[in-house]
Amino acid sequence: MDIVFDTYRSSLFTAIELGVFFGSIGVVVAPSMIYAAFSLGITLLSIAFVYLLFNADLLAAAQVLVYIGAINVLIVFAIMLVGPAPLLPSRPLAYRLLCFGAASGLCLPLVFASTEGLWNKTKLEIPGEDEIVQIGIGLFDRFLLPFETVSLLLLVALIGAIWIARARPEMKREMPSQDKPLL
Amino acid sequence: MLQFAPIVPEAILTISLICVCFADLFQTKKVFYKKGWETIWIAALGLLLSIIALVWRLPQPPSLILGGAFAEDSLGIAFRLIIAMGSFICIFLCLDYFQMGGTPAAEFTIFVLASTIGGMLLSGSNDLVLAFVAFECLSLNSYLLAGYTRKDLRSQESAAKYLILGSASSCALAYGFSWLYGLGGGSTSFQEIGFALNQYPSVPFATWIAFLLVFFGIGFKLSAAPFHQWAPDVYEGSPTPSAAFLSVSSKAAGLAIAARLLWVVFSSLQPQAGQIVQLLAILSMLVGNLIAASQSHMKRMLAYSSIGQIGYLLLALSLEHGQGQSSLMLYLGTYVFMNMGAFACTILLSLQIGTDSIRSYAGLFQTKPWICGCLSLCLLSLAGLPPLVGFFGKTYLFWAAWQGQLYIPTIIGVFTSALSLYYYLRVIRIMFTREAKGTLSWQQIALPAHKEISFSLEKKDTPPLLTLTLVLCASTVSLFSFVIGPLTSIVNDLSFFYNDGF
Repeated sequence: MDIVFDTYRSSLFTAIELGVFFGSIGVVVAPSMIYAAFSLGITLLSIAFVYLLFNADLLAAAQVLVYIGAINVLIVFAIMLVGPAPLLPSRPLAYRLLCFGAASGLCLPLVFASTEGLWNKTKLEIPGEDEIVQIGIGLFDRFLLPFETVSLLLLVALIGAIWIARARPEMKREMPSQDKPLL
Repeated sequence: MLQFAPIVPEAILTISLICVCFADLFQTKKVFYKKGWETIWIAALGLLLSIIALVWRLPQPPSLILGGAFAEDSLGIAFRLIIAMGSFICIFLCLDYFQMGGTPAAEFTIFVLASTIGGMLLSGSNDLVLAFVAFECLSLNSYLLAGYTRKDLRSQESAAKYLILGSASSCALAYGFSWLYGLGGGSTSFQEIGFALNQYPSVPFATWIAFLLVFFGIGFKLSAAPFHQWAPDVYEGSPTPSAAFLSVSSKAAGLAIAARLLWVVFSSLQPQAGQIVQLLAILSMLVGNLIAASQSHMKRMLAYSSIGQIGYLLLALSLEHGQGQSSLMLYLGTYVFMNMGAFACTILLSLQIGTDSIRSYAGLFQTKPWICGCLSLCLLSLAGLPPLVGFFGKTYLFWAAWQGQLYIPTIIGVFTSALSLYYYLRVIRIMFTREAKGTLSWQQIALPAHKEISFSLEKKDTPPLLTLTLVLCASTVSLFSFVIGPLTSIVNDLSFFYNDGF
């Protein structure tokens, strides 16, 4: 199933991409943590619209449910629990320009490569009506091993977080103040 | 069911990881520092079974499973075997070390097992998605291992440093992979990407961007020369068993994915890609061996020496597919035992004299002749002195590089390897000739990291597991040279990476 990029679709696409762009810029430059978290929400929502535009309905729904409904809300909760962070002193302009230059230096080749038509899209498939079936087959075939490895990774990340954060018998002794776990 | 047979070794490790979690949960001893025996044995049993399963899979013909996500070929299996052996030895190193420091060892075995699974999947992965997930599984556990002793500030510092630099390298790797995904026509399989890259009439510049990004990410994991700055600090700060793991298993996994990418995916970039790897190799050999000579801390010295060793291994990697692999595997296989032996001796000595500084090893030969003898054996083998196994590995490697017409890198390799003899011999000379200072027992000087903890361990001068490991490594280092012939023929019989005839 092909997707025709008529003017309607491409203007919609441009608007969504602008949402992704300004949302992600906002995450980095927002003056306070909570604005950055909401910018992240905008980015994630725009990405969900991108999925929708490419017929990946299930992915769009999962993106909204998991990333905005769960993860972003969790981030906002964490910020509320920690309390307002002190405003960082603004970096000098030269430093910011340097960061901007480095970031665009990394991104611009990608833009050029896309406009040059370097990508060949022979293996790309736009999902049709049977999108869910394809995802199911993929999860039990070539993505089975990565999927299981991710669950192992999450298990170990959980154990590691507990290991770093939990008070142990050996830590009952009063610790010097700089001895707090860094991570 | 048959198609899951290639991942049986990883499945065994996963099951033993879950068993370790439960054993830790239900352990009954209330005294925390006595914990760990059960978990150690479960983990060791799992790794042993996994090694047996890998040996069982070794003669199988190459195949792809799970829609091409995982490749089983004997070269990949050899890498997985080396990773599993490194972790097996590392598991035995940790118990005594952590007991003396008053830290439970159960979580350490969990992290080691999980990163071993990550490394083994990385060696067999044939798909960008699996490769990245496995790489992250290996990295995350490495950070946790580096920061394992939470009370130790240096360990925390090294973990934070490693985490930040490691995340940057992971970003580079992910970005490089996304370039590969675009260039390969939207496929994630290594063969299809390699095939698509070969189809371009002239190599697009974007392929070079992808190559450089990917090798930046992997070079960091290997601590090859321009990306090596983290290694000495992390090795020095992290607990010694973690440093041993980082220097062996983690590097073997990085080499495996580097070899597969270089020989399968980037085959259209040869020979220039090989020259870039040679450049890394030359820099690593020079930087590692030159700076190691001025180190006064044993773990820092071993860190720089392992940077030098990765240079030799990269030299074999820069050869073409079919020339370099057997010398690479032979040297890597022997390097595991030499390096693990050196780390085992370092742990044993640091537990007994309470410090890692080389100067404090003075005159130790008079009081601890066996440990010093084993350490000398391992260090001389790392330097590549004739009757020991390191000599044969190195000779074979340099010979293969010479055959591949890498004259200048080979000469630099021989030169730096002669240079390395200086700093290895320096340690040995201090141990054998200097006057012994009044050595204190470990009860008087606790590990610097754990000075605040008063531990009430019964006096045991020779921790049993560590000694066992040491004997295993030292005897392998000295006995392998007698079986180097059969070993070479096994290594020569390893198949190529699965490449589907492209």
